[in-house]
Amino acid sequence: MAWQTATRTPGKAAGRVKGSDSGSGSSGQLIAVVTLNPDKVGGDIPIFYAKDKEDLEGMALVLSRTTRAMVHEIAEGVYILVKH
Amino acid sequence: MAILHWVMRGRRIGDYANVKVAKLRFDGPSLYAGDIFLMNVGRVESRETILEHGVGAIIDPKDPNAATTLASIGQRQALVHDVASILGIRRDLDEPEFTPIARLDHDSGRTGMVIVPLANDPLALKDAVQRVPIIESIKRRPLAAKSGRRAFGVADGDEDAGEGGR
Repeated sequence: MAWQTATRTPGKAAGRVKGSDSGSGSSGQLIAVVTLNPDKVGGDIPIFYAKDKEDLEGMALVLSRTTRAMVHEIAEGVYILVKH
Repeated sequence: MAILHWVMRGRRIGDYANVKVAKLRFDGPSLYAGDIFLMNVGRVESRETILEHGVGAIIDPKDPNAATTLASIGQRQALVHDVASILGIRRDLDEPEFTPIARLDHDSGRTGMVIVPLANDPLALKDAVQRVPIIESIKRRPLAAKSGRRAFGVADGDEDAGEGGR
């Protein structure tokens, strides 16, 4: 019957990175980027531009709590949110 | 009876390695237990919480047999699980940065770990780590093999060099 058939939407390939900080081999997913420097980031993921350090921390906090992702600093003024 | 109990007791991490409390520190966003890198923590407030409430430990294997056994991912996961179940974890669902973690230092074979416990007592952490059982199927004894002794630079005829691997 048609209503019994459910198709699963394949996961987005963009933003999926192989990571294993727990050692279990699970992959992490890049959720978003928060940055003070627009020149340093680009791509097909949500990017939030902060005006100062306080704004950067505040946005990273709210994003990490709502998405349950972990915040990593990969460069000065650039935070990435990764769901492990 | 006590002797029988002792002989039949399974091995624990304290039998295989020297455990010591390690000072946690940050170098920028990088968290270290002593000199062992653990993870990258982005937010400044999270770093402050880890420094204030977190405790770290370094597990130093006694010999190559112990080092090979403790390098196992499963054994390190068991270590974190057991310690967390005893000390508790000071985190909520939306705070993944406070998840306990154990990382291997490949150069020295040591394992560093960090936990933000409910009960903040470094000596309790040390005791809990020492008492974590070694998973039987993970036990390794490379020194019992000729190629293993060659790999770890142990002379032939010195198979008993690995006391911790028994």
